[in-house]
Amino acid sequence: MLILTRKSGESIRIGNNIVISILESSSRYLKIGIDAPKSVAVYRNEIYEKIQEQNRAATASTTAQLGNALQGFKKSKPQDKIEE
Amino acid sequence: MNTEAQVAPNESVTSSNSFGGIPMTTFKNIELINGLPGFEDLHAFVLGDLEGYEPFCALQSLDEPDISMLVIEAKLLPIWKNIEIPPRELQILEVDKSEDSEQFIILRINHNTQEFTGNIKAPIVFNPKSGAGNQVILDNANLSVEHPMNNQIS
Repeated sequence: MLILTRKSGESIRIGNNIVISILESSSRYLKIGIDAPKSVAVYRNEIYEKIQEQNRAATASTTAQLGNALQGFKKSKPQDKIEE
Repeated sequence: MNTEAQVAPNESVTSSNSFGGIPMTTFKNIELINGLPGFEDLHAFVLGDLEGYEPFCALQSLDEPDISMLVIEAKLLPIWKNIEIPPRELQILEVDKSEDSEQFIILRINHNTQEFTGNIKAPIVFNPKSGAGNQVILDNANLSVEHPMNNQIS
C-alpha cells in the first residue's frame, strides 16, 4: 500500500482525473472530498462490502429453498395484498 | 456466455436454477454498467416475471446461468414512498427524474427466520428506455440492507 501524509486542505491526484482532497481533520474523523468522473463509482467501503455480501447471499438463496419459501408465500399471502 | 440463457423479451423460459423451476416471462434486458457488487464482472441481465407469483420477479444473469436473484418493484413497497434516487446516479443512467427510472429491490431469505428480507439500501435502478442500470447505494442511514419484507407485504 502506498502511504502518503497529507494536511487539511491538501489533496492527492489518482490518474489524470481523480482528485481526493482532505477538507477537514479532527482527532476522530477526516472529511474527504472526491472529484471523479461520473463513470467512477465511489462508495464507503464497509457499505460496499455489505452490499457484496447481501448480493452473494441473495443468489445463494436462489435455490429450491427460495422456491419453497415462494410456494409458501403464495399460499399464505395473497399477492394482491402487496400494494397495501 | 451461455447462449441458451439469452432470451427475447416476452419469451417464456424455464431456467434450471430459477426458484425451483418456476417459469419466468422475461420483459426487460438490463445492462448493469458497473456489474453487481459481489459479481462485478457480470453486466448482462434479464428481468422477468415469475409466473403465478407476480409481482415477484427474477433478475437473471445472462453470463452466468447460476446467478439469479428474486426482486420486486420498489414502488410496491410502502417504505419506498419519498425515496429519491440521487441526481448523480440518474445522470449516469441518462434519466432526468427519479420517477422516470425503474427501481427493483433484491430479496433474500433470512436463514434464522426463514422470512424474506429486502435490500432497500441498494436498489437496482435502470433506465427503462435504454436498459442501462446500476445497483445504487443510497446514502440514507435509515435504509437497511436486510429490511423485513413480510411486514411490508402483509
